[in-house]
Formats: sequence, structure tokens, C-alpha cells
Amino acid sequence: MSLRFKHNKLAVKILLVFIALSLLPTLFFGFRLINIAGGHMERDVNVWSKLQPEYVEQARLFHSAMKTRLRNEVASFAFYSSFIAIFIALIASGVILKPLRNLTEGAKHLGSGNLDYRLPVSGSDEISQLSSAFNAMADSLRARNRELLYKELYIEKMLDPMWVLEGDNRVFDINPAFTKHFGFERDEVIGKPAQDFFDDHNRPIFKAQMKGQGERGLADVYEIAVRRKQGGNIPVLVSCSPVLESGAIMGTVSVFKDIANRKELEEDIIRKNSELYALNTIAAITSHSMDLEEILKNTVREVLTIIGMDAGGIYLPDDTKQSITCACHLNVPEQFLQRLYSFQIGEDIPGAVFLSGRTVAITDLSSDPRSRDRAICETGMKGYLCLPLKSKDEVMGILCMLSAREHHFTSEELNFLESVSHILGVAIENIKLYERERSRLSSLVSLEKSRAEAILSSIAEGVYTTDRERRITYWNKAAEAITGHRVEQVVGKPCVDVLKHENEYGERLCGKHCVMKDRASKQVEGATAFCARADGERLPIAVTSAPIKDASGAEFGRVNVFRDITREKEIDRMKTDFVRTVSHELRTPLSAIVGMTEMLLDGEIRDPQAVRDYLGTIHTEGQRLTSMVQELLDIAKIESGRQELIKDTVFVRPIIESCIHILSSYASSKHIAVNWDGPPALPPIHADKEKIHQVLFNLLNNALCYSDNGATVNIHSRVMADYLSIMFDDTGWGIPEQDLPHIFKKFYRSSQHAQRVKGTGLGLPLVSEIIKAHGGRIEVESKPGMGSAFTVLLPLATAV
Amino acid sequence: MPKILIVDDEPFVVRMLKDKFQNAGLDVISAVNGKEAVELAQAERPHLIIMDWMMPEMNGIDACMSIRSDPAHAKTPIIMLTAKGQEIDEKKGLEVGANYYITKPFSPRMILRLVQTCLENDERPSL
Repeated sequence: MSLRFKHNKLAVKILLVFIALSLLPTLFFGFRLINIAGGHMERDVNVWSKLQPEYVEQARLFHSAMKTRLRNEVASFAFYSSFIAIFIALIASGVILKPLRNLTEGAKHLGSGNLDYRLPVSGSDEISQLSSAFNAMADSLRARNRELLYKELYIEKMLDPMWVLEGDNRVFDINPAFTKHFGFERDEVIGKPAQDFFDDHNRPIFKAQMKGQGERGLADVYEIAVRRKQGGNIPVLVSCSPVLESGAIMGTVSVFKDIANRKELEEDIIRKNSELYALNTIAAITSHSMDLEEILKNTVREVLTIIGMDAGGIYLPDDTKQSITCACHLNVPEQFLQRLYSFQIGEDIPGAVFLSGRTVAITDLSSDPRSRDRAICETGMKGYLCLPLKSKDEVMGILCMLSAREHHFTSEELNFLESVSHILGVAIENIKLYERERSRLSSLVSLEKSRAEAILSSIAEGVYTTDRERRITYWNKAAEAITGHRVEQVVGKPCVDVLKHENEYGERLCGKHCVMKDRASKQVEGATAFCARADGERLPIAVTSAPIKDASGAEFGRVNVFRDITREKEIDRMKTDFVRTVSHELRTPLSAIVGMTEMLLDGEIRDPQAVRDYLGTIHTEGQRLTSMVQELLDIAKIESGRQELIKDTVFVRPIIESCIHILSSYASSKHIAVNWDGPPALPPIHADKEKIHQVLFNLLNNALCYSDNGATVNIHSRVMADYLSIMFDDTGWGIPEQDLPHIFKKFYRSSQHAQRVKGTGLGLPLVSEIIKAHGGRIEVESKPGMGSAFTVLLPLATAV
Repeated sequence: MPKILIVDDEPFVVRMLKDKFQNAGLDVISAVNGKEAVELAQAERPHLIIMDWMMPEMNGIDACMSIRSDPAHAKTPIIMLTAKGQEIDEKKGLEVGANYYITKPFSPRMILRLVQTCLENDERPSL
């Protein structure tokens, strides 16, 4: 509590108030009292004047003494009361002023920013309430202040530049980040038009955006480039929002995002992408085709595009690896092609690169020491690249590229080119391998093919294949030979139209009974059928059909093997004929025996001569039967291989003599002369006597049988090396040429002879088998109408 | 007297049948092959023919056909007598006009009886 009057105007005021409060009434009432007293005195005087005029003076003195005393009392009262008033005033002011001073203090604190100052609150009177209110205000102020501080902090600390524009697009404020990014200080920019921050290219963008925003009143995000104070542009992403107040746009707030990095990365990616795309394209080109020239040309084109050069070409080594030659070129002027066409290994830049396997990249040919005096300089080009195309460190070729202007090869470009080098190197190697392999395979395949062809052509049986639709896809030589259908006429045609398989009754088998059916393995023979020859004749065949399956096991065609069974059918027929003939042959003598004995027994024959004749016939026929049966048995034995030969040293002379003797009556009945010129001493043979007898008898018998009356049979025998040769030479009917190869076959009977002479067709085969079993040979010469000569050769006993 | 023509290239067959038929009172002529048979059939007009099959020159079947084509022998009984014994052969024989087909060996007795029956049943008036 001080008495500084200057600052304590209130205190003075209170003081004065109190003094006034105490003095004024005092004085007022004092004076009133005095006046009343005065009045009283007057009256009193009056009264006394009337009554007792003597008392008037006394009364006046009394009253005036009282007046004076009153006045003094009042004055001292006033005096004392003013002191009391001052005292109280001082106290009061103290009491009042303290909180006021506190408040002031507090307010000052608040004003100076110290928002933590709080007033002490005591009691709950109005002063206390004021203090509390003050505190509350201070609290809220502090909170608000903090909020605002934080908000300011955000903006201050923001990394992204921000500006606030007024409605007329002048800068209202910027944040520190703006300064950091664009270089402009805060005080430089405030009030400047926003347009100043954009160059000619970007200004229209900004204007358009602002206009659009103004119309729409919505926030927007767009890309633009902002000028820097020190020059140049920074590409940014702007997020721009209008500031609205009561529905009207007061200004805009924009936050910028520096996308320079992003843009750079984007550009990088785009470039990398296009490189990758190019590599992809090149890889696709190289794997798409096996045409080397096509690949090389397309690749050169791609690479030129990516790298941005003008002309190029690829060199490949020749087979001797002594030189490299241009395999393809693009945009190289005619006049230089000749000179640049080929280089020795090691010669000039391309040759050197081929040898070293290291890339040579020259920015400007005219000024690079490496290209001094080189052929490439003649072209007048500047940028030059010579890239080895490598597969696993082996150089497969060279890629050269030229550009009219200087070309600074960046590390990305060189990386890209290295990738190209690998792709192309591998591709070239692959193609070379592929070509080699292909030609090897192709020659292998054609070798196999020709081998298979050779096999199929050599097979004696007809082989043909059909596809799913039963069209003929292959027809071998034998098939052609057998059927007469020529390959070119048959391939591609349906089997139905070519072979026309029929059964023995002439019914077509196609469809349900088609011969192209799988045969169970037990059925070795396959189906028999008739097919149509080219000349229209029916041909009996045996067909075996098997499916041709692909890798998955599905049938995609059939392979059919057939053979001409005319011969077999013949043989079959002959067998049947033989059986028939045999049974016929057997029946004939049997009927004689049976019939004649019946008649004899019935007593039909009385004449003794007739009886003798009959008996003789019976006997002869019986013999005939016997020999026939024997023949059959012999054949059977020989067939089964169970013929046992009892070999001994045998002289043929007696055998021949015996045969001649036995057949003499037969010979004489036909008036055939049998002559033998055999030398007296013939060496013996090692043989089975009985069998040899059979052989010689058979041959002599045949000579007699198959001759007309009056013919001649000459028997010649002589020694030839280790063999004894016996020839039966007749002047009989001879054997037709077509029968000669078959006469030693079982059941075979020359059709001509069969008509004239009954026989089994087993005689000669038997003879042949016996001779073979002795290690000998039989030969025949014959001319129809002239005769036949059968020669038997038997090994001498000495030779065995 | 009824005339029988026996055709067979085997002499003893002819001999047997001839003896048998002659003993039975029949007249017999013979031929050794089909060709002869046709000639004789035309010339001698036999009342019955016994025909073998397997013969040189012309076989029995052809001969039979030829004889049957002659209107005079349209109804003449022909007995095939042959060693060819299969069913198909019998069919053929009967097809070409034979009335009977007998396979060898045969019983002469039976043949005679057959011949006699045929002659009895023959309605032709030429007899």
C-alpha cells in the first residue's frame, strides 16, 4: 500500500469519496444545526424580548456561546470524522485496491503473454468471483493461445510449401517451407500476384485452375511447375482449397508437393520401361523366328530406335572364324557398304572388338583417338558404337551403330546394350546350333526314311497304311507289284474304292466285315479275302491289319500287310484235289476188287478164262492199291521228318537192272526202248538201297508213262567228281516250261499231264526228298514235244 | 433187247458191267471217254447210259450235258457211276441231267437191279 498518487488514482478517489461522505453530511448537518440553533436563538431572543427584555442580552450571549460551541463541536467533529474517514478510506482502498491491483497485474501478465498467471481466490464475494472469472478467462485464453500456437507451429513446421492467396490472387501469407523450396522470403512475397511465380508455360495452367475453382468453389489437385527464385522450375503437385466465408470465396489456401523427384523417377521408369520393352521385343523377335536375317534386321531396328542412332548393322563370323562379314544392315548408305562389308579378325574396330569382346562406344568419331584412320570415319558419322554379341563370353557377332550427331552414351544405355548383346549373342548361337541340329536331324531323318523306304520297298508283302477315314496314306512297292495299282493312283483314295475287298462269294466286305480289324494274336493268318487288281481281276489275299497309335494311344490309322495267296490257294486246291484224287485213285482199284469179287462169288463168271482174268485184275488192282498206300505213307513219313535211311555201301548197277526188268513188260506194251550205257564198273554210293531203288524206279516209270508209244528212254550213268550221275533221258511229251519249277512240289501235276495220266503228284517230290536226304541233287531239262532228261547226282561212298 | 451204254475209261469196270448185264440179257455197248460216249449215244440210241466222270478227252459231266441236249435222249435214264464222291459232285451230276448218282466202289448186283428198275419204269415206247 503506497501513496503514490499518480498511479493510485482510485485510491485518491476513494479517499475523496470517504472524506466527502464523512464531511459533507457533517458539515451539512452541522450547518443545519447551527442554523437551527440560530433560529432558536432568534426565536428565543424574540421571546425574551417580549417577556423579559433584560434577558435578551443574556439569551443572546447564551445562544451565541452555544452557537460557537456548536460550531466548534461541528468543526472538531468534522475534523475528527475526516481523519477517521481518511483512515477508513485508506483501509477501504487497500481492501478494494488490492484485488484491483491484482487484476491489473494479472491483466498485465496476460497482456504480456504470460498466460499462466492466476489470481488467488479467497472467499466467494464479488471480488473473489471476479478473480475466479479472471482465472477462468486466463485459462481459456491460454488454451486458445496454445491452440493457435500449435496451429501456427504446424504451418511453420510443415515441410510442404503453402501459401494463402487473397480473393484477387495476391499472396497473403506463406510458410517457411515455401521459402525453403522456392527461395522467396516471406516479406518479399506478401502482396505479390500469384502469377509472378509461374513462367510463361505454367501461367495459363494456373489461371485456368483459378478460374475453374472460382466457378466451382471446390478443392482441386493439379500439377504445375513453380519458378524458383534462383531460376528454373520445380514441378509440384498443388492441392488448392478455397477459403469460404459466408458462402463467398475469400481466398485460397494451396499446399505444394514437390514432385521433382517423382517426376525424375517417372522419367526414369518410362525410360527403363521403354528399354525393357525394347529388350522384350528383341527377345520376342529372337525367339519368334529361326530366320537369322529377319531377327538381326528387326533387332537392329529396335536398338537404333531405343538408343536413338541412325544406322547400323550386324557382322557374323564366317565358318573359318578368320573374318567377319556383314549379315544385315539398316540405313547404311550404299557407297560405304562395300568398304565396311567385311573385316579380318583383329582388323579395324569391328575386328578388334570381335577379338577382345569389349564394347567400343565413341561419342564423336572425328575427335576420338581410337577411330583415327579407321574405315568408319569415311562415313562422316559422329556417334559410333561397336558392341560384341556374346553368349557365355564367346563372341558370336558384332553390332555396329552410327549416328549423324555426337552421341553421349549414358551408363543406362550401355547397360541396355549389354542386355541386347546377351540376347542377340544367345540367339545367334541358338540359331547356329539349331541349323546344325536341323541339318543333322534332317539327314538322319532322310536316312531313316530312306532306310524305312528301302525296307518297306523290299518287303515281299504288300504294305499299305490308311488314315482314320480309311484313305490310303502309304502304298509300298510290293503292294504295287501284287495288285498292279500304282502308288500315285492310289494314295489319298479311300480303300473302299481301290481294293474293294470281297469274300469268296463276291460279297463286299467293306463296312461291317472290313478286313481292317484287329486280329487276336492267335490268328496268325489274318483275314482272307479277295481284292480288286488294277486290271479288274480278283486276287485272293491274306490281310493282317494292325492299328497305328499315336503317343496318347489313340488310333489314327491302320497298317495293313497282305500277300497274294493265289499260290497258297492253289496249293490248298491242289491238296483238296489230291485228296479227291487220292480217294478217287483208291476207289478205282477198290471197285475192281469189290465188284469183281462180288461177281465171282455170285457165280456170274463161268468161263475159267474169264475167272482168271477177273482174279488177275483183282490182284493187279490190289497191288496198285498197295503201292499207292505205300507212296502215301512215304510221303507222310518224309513230311514228318521221320524217314529213316539205312545207309550202306550200295552198287547202283543191280538196282538199275532191277528197275529195267520190272518195267520191261510195261515198256514193251508201249513199244518203248530202254537203253542203258552204264559202264561196267561203277563206284558204289553210300545210300539206303531200298530208297534208291524207289527213286530210280520212279524216274524210269515216269519216263515210260509220260511218253507216247515208240519213244525211247536212255539211261546214262557216269562218275562226276565226288558224285555218281544217273540220267534218264526220254523222248516223251516233255514238261511245259511253266510247270518245270513246280514238278518237285507235292501234289503238283502239270495240267497237261494230269489229263492224260492218272497220278498222285507225289512221285517226284518223294524222289527229290530221298535224294536230298542222301546229300545228292536232281536236275531236270525238258522241252515239250521233245522229251525230258532227269539227272540224279548221288555222293560216292568214298566221298562221304 | 434194251441197249445199255457203259462209259468208263477203266477197262475192268466196263468188263464187269458188261458181263453182268449180258448175263442178265441186256445188250451192252461201251465207250472209253465222253467224246466217244456222245457219238455212240447218237449213233446207237441206247436205252440207258452208265456214265463215269473222270475220263480223258471229255469228262462225264460234259458228255451228259451234250447227250441231254439231244432231244432223242431227253428222257433216257443216265446213271452216273464215279469215284467222285462229294456232295457237291452229286449235285453237279444231277444238275446236268443224270437221274442217279452212284459212287464207286459199287456193287454190280445193285447196279443191275437199278438198271432193271429204270428200264421197267421207262414209259417210252421205243422199247
